[in-house]
Amino acid sequence: MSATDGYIVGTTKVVDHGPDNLRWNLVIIGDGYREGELTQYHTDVQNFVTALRNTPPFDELFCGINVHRIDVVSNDSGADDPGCAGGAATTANTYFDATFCTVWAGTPMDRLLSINDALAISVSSMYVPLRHQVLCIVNSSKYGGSGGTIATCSTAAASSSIAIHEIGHSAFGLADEYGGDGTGTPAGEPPEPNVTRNTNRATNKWRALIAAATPMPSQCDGSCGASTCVAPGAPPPAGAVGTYEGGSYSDCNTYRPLPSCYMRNYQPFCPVCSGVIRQTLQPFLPAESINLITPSITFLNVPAGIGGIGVTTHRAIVWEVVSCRRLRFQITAGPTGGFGTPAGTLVSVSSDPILPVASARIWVSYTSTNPGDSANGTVTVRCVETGQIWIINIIANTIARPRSAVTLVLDRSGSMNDDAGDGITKIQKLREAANSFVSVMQPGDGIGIVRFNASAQRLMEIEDVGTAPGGSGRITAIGILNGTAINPSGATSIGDGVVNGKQMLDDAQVSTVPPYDVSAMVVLTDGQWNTPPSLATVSGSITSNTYAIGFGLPSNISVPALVTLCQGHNGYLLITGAITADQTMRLNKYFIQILAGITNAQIVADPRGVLDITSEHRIPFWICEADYGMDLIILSPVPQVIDFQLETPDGTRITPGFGGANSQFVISHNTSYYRCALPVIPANDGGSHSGLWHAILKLGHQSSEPLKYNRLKEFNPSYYDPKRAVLPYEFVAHAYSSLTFVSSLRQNSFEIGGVVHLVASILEYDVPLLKHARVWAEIQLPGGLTEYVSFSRDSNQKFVANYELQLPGVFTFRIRARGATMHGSPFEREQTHTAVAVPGGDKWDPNDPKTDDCCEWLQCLSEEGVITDQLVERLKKLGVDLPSLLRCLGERCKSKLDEIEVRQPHKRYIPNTKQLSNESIEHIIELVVNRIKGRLS
Amino acid sequence: MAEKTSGHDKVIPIHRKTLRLTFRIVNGEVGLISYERLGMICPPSVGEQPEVGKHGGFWIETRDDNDSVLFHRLLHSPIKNWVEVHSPDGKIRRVFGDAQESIFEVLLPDDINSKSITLMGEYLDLKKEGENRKEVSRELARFKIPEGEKGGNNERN
Repeated sequence: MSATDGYIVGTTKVVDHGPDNLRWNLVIIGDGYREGELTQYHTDVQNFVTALRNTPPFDELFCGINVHRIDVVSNDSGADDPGCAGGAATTANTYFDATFCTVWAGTPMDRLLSINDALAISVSSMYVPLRHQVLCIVNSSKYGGSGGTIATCSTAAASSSIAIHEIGHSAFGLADEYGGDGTGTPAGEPPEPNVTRNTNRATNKWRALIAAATPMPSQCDGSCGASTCVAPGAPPPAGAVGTYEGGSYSDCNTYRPLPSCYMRNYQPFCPVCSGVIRQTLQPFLPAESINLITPSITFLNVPAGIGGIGVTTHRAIVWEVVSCRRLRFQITAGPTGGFGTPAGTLVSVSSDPILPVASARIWVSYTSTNPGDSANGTVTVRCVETGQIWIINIIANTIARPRSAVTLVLDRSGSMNDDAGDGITKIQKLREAANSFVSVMQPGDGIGIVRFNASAQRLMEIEDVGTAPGGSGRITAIGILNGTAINPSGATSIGDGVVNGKQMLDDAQVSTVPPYDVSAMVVLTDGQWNTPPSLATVSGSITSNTYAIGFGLPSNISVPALVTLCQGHNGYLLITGAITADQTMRLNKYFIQILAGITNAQIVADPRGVLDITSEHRIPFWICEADYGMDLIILSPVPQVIDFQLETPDGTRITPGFGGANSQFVISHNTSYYRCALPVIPANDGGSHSGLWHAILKLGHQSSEPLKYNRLKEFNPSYYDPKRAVLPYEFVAHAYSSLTFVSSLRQNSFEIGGVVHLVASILEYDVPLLKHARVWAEIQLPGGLTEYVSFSRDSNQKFVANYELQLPGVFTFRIRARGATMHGSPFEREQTHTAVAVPGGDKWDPNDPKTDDCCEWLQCLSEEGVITDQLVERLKKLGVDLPSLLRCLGERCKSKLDEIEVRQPHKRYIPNTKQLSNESIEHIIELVVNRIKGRLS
Repeated sequence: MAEKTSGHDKVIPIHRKTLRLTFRIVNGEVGLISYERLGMICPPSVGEQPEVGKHGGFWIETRDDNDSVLFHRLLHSPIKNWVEVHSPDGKIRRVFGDAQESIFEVLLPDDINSKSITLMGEYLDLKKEGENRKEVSRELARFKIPEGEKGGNNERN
């Protein structure tokens, strides 16, 4: 029943319009909230704040108000309710001892909700010394409240009205405007500004608001026999301020300004009361200021569009506004120079509900034309309320689409002959994925290839890929990828590969005129480097964006070294883990995602599925007005047998043979895709641009030549199964867009229990998208389970989240965003990252490769003369056939031994050439047995 | 002296220092039980300056050496002999009863020219309420401006 019935958690400034010494400070305390109900309390506080802000005239005065929330935990939920109006009595032990049915004049008043005022004042003063008003919200859905120094209300829907009414008394000195029998009515003229006995228009206290035509008095209370009020001949017009009989607890000879007011019946504050509230809060309002943040608008280097269609981009003229009133900004002239106004020519801005500063934006658009073109103009804007005028210069130019040069640095060490996990060798997976990458690259971009095992070689210098399909660079690259040049053998020198990749890019920038706008290196490896130079040695010299793919299990990959390599160069590391049968094209997908990162494409959707001969898959994806191009990509072992069509938002079908300058269909060994400029149908902008698109897939006909599923046998026999007749695919939708989603994953510890830090941002025309967007991560755990993590916003308007890696293995983070653009169009974005956790993960030394000691040990055993016939015999007696064991281990370590052989050619085991001491033999036996036990365990 | 700012209707003085006073009324007697000086803006006076002999109700004034009124703050009936009851049907009414101990706070400008504080009203002794209700307001109590940053003080002039 007191402060012993709970505790105080702390205080939060939930509305911060400036320093407390300059603002009017409202303190809100809560009673009857248990610890687990504080979240509800926060919601209730916010609801009250919203109600207050939406009550004129507070809506235009709110930037003079701060709101402080004190979190108070009570032992019990609710309030005492003795049940004076019927119903069971309840008791709640709460911090401020809130109770309904407060007894007054010997009578319990059911709706009179009171608290321990002295305690509430004490707590408020302690936590918010600079307070002007205190409100207590009591956690009860029963309607009730009270006034006094502390206003009190419950959480019932209309109870906030009680609090606002009572604040009208205590903070603004307003009188009650309801009538009564006169008990409590002042004998003289009431001192309050909103009630009077004076109906003389010349001396009435609110005479400034009374129109000459309004009769005085304006209305009499007919029920009052003792009144001297003389009714007017005609009633005043609705809303006319005058003198209406009844107020200050008397129905007779006491007058109020309007028939209704918050101080009478919770209706909107009358003009007199509104004026008093304005006058009271006026000193607390920040000085009004309007600062133009963008005196000029520059559309710098806007790329020419895909297929000759211009790219339309937007820039905002921005004012930083400190004002409590609504201000309107109107374009009065321009924009000249061919610029557009995509969001209209008038914008209004109101004060921010939480912060002291708001931004006003008028958007200007520019559509790129031909490379080398430029434009300039001006636009004139006037603030309607203040009359200020600004003339803003606008300049723009068009450049050719930024071109990218990419070097693929590919591991061809012996282990690439190993099974990827789904029965297909790693090298074959690599060939397919790199094929997809090259196939989807844009004309004008350059491709180069470096291979590495114990050393690296430059297989293909950077060359324009050319048209799609059939460009000479593309053909050359695909020929290399499919040929013997990357056949696996030997050891792993990632560092030498990186050095060669870097040099290749540097050489291309020197020899290509004009140089490429972006250079990037994609490193694929399935192992730990074991031949110098180390990655740490070469990392510092790299100037290009660098991405890496770890192909296989993290325990076999130089994870920390690759993370360091990528994170320092605007890229990231993706780790595939073991490729499973249900995600057989994961490597292809990772390559395509990296390509999106290099070309600044946005990933809109990337579902996967399995087609059978009877199914038709309709895959939805959102395209918004900020998108100006898109690639819709199918990754499949046999895309030739997938009938792949698009459906526009208005239902128009786009097929491979659709034609038109804005749509191109391309098919290659493992990939088919549409490359489109938006709108796809220029004559139908509304129906073929922004909205919900569908990709429609089914097995069957493709292009003009009918291809049946059974022709799979010709294309890829391993996927042909006439009994099952199913084909896996991955669908990826890329958008080229002015709405950009960027995410990153930073991992500072590779131990189990390490925390991953996730950050994402969404920009629309370079401005953070503040509303209507949410970000979350779908996390696939090593065991296959999926968890979800929501992101919150930080003070820099970025979305952030942390996640603890509680299992060993590879975690796949699919970071997704969904929302609406400033024009209200839905959008979706996503990006995939990986993280790994292994026991002892932080003991990895990027410069100390972890060796496969079993194979190294086997290699030593295989040295000439190490194993004698004596050892063979001893082991035989122990039941171990050493030659068979070595053959078995040799099979397991074949690729490793190949690597070792490259580094240090040696002779294989030749028995009976050299004797070992008995002690050595015992030791080797012990080693072998222990090793075998260790492997078995 | 106070700064001034342009409001919507008229020039409003801004007082950047505030004196928070806590009073108690019990048994027809009023006492200043605590005060605190605060570095925050003091809400301005609202409405016309009430006049003795004309106005009823309650208010507090600060006065200078010449006993001229510098500032007034309206009080919403500091005597706790009634409660306001809000009904779910939207009606509001006052219910009267015996006076109880009343504690109320007042925010006044912390102005160096202020020398005294006066409580103006119709009555303090509720036993005479019926009689007093026929009268306009008058000075009920006067206090010195307290000194120091904060403390308790019930000294009356």
